[in-house]
Amino acid sequence: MKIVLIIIASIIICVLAQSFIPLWWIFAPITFVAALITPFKTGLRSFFVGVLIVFVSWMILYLFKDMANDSVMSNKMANLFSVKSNIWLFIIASTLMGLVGGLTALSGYFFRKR
Amino acid sequence: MRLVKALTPLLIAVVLIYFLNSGFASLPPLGKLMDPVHGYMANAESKNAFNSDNIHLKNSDVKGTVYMDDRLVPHIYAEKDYDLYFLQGYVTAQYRLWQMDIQTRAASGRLSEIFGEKFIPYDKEQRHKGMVYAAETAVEEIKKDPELLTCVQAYTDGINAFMGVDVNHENGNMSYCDYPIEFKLLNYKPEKWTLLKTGLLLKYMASTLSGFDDDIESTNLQKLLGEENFNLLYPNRPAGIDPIIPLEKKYDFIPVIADSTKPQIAELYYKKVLNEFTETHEKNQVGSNNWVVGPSKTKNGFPILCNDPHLQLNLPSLWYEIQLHSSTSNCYGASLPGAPGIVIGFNENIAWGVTNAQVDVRDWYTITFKDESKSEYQYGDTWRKTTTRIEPIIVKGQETIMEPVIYTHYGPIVYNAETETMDSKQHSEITERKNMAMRWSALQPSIEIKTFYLLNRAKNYDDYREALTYYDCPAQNFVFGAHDGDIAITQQGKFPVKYTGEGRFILNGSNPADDYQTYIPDEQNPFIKNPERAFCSSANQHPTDSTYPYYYTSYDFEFYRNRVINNTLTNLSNIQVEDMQHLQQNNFNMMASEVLPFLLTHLNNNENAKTNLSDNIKHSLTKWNYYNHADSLSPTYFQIWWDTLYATLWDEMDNTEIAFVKPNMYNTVNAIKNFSENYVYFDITKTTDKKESLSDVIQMSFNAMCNMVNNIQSKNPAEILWYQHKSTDIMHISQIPAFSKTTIHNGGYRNIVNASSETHGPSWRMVVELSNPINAYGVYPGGQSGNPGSKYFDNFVDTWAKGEYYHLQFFTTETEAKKQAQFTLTFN
Repeated sequence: MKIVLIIIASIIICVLAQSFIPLWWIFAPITFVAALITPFKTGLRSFFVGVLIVFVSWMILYLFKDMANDSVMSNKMANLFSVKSNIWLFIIASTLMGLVGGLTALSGYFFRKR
Repeated sequence: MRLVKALTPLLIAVVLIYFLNSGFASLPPLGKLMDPVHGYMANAESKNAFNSDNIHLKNSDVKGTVYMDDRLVPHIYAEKDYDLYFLQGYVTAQYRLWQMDIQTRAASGRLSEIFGEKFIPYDKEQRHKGMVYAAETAVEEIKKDPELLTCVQAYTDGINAFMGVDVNHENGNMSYCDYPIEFKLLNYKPEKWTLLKTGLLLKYMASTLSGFDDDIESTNLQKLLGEENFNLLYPNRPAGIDPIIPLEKKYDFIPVIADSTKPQIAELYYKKVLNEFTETHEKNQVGSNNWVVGPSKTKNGFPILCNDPHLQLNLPSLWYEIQLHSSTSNCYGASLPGAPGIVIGFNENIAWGVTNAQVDVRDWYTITFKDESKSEYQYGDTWRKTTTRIEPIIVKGQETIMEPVIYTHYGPIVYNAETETMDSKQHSEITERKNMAMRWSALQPSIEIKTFYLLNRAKNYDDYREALTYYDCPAQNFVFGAHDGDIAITQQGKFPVKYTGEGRFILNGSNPADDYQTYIPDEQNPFIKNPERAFCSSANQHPTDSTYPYYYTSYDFEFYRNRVINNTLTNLSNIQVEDMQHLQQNNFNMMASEVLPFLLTHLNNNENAKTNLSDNIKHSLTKWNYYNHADSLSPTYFQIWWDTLYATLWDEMDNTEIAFVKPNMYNTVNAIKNFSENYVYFDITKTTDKKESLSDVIQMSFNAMCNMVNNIQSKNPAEILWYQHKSTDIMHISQIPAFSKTTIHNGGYRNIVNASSETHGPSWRMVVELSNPINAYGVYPGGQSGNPGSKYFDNFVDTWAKGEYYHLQFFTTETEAKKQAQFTLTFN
């Protein structure tokens, strides 16, 4: 239960931080801290939670912006990067960033265990 | 060990972040770009972004209001002219900043700074053409005119205010988040606007419209073909000219005389000089139509003025629609992002439009230097001193190149004889390397922008004529109509008085007789007011009949659009706005109508190779009404046939080592119809064993066309449709296909009134009825926003392609503007 709360809180913090701080990698320290304060059973679990937090918060931000824009920009960018659709572009970018967030979460997990 | 375990993933993450933050190879920083808030999604304009706002600018007491209508056209109301042009600069920058940046960078030869070494040749060409020199000269002239300086300075201040330029922020304080998307993708930063950049933008237009000539090609051709054949294939005034100024005009002034000399035929062949830099042969494709019909020909008794400049079609568009209202003016029309005022438009009293004069205003002189220092050059019996400009070309990731450009009194030495190019040895036997100076009227001191400033405020014919006296280059045909019923057209530019043939070929720079002696006085430039036929028109054709006492030449006069327009206008009466819109959409292919029946009679009827397909094509062409409509097939058959025939006819000039230009369409049609069947150049050079006649090449090209059509049909039959075959593409300026609109569904072509070709076309269509209130229509293939993430980026394109127009909301009172506004920006 506590873990779920931390995940939800992290996602909220992540969304807010990305919105107001012009550093695209701001999610990385957030997942690091989240893993540092959460009693994960395994490193793998902390990694996937890190991925999840970043993936979900980026997708929320993408979709929110995209709806207000009728996908005008994202369709063009998907076309530019030769990606099938704008949703795929969001998924690819969010997953890539998720991997970075997962790595810092993993690092946080190991720091906690130390 | 635990610490290592903890640090390893962290390190990998940091490395990943580092790379995603800095960009590698030609990729932009992907992390920054993908940021869902500050990256490209920041350019995803919200549907609800259009809210009214109060803007208070630091260090500025500009007062005024911008009313944005439902098409995002700003209607700017300010009391003072300074405030008006400040707000024009501010709003234009808000919607078109990247375009303004890249166009002026391109003009000044600064692309290597962003894109690296592959743009060095392009940059060098701009420097050698004297683009920066020309812009600096233009700024000096603007500074001498306090009224105009206020206007250009205000515009500059407005752009910089938008970017947040101040003492602490030399290039503004825009954050990455606020950059137009192109800056993010191309990974560079905006920089502050200057008077020089406005100068550069104007010279960029001058280069687009007058930076062409075929002096070197003509020199080679005259030598290759001999004078007789040259004059036959490249006549300066072929039969059948329908000039801008009608024949009724009497040129009853005393012309200024220049010394008469016969041009010498060159002894050697030359390579295209500007090719030395870019190695691409730029063929001029710009053109335009404009006309005005007088009150006696219109239903409502008011003049109707029309204009459609045919320029390269791009996104964002070259044009930005705007209304400008101050205590001294109320004007509506198309402006150029980067220059204050309106270029094509109307006010409450008058309307005006422009087409390119297409008269040759660029000449080449061979220069003889005294010695290798190139500090002096021969001029008659004397030696004149040169000056040298060092042009620093900054190259991304490399050392800055210090490019010296030597100037003579004619202009810059574009090409140095000693410049070693990779293939110089190979060509040295047939081409001679000479130092060549380019004389181009765009490099002379002038103040064209004043003309537009005055036209924005003109009330009548006299104001219009006065405004034109400030206009030198690029020479234009200014059409004019007034509410009071006057109509007029003037070809305005600064034209030297030339002897017959002068400037058509390379000139000798050491011979003072080849130098310009004097200029044609403005009042002797071709013009006519209220002609008997009650209309004035121009479509880049010869300005005058042969009774005009001055010699002029062109690299490309028009012979078809002008006749279609004049024939149509002559036959129309009771004209309404819709009739004029229809004429702008006219797809009649007059060239085809004049040559196709002749070609068809030359086809061999009893050939064995005859197929169903060739029969069908022949039948379809015989029945064709010569209209290049979007979904027709015949225009495609004809065009493929014609292109093949044209290439076969003039294969003698397919020479990559020496600069040539092939005869134009009109002269080619004339050759086909009137020259003897066995005219020497109809032969195909490749087939040395036999001699082809005209009928042979017509039949061969027809067969080749049938084969091509067969090939296309077997792959994708839809590609035979005319619009698919010609494929009008509106490319994003950076050539990013994802931001472009391609294969537009529309008709027309080159030499057709609806001049939509592959890359060029009617870039702004305007029809203005000079009633009270003004009844005006317009459309351009783009949108008011330069942001690809905005729904206003390309929302006019479909309207334009369908041949439809927007009713232009020209407000006479601020209350009216306020009532119609989608949202309002108030500056106080």
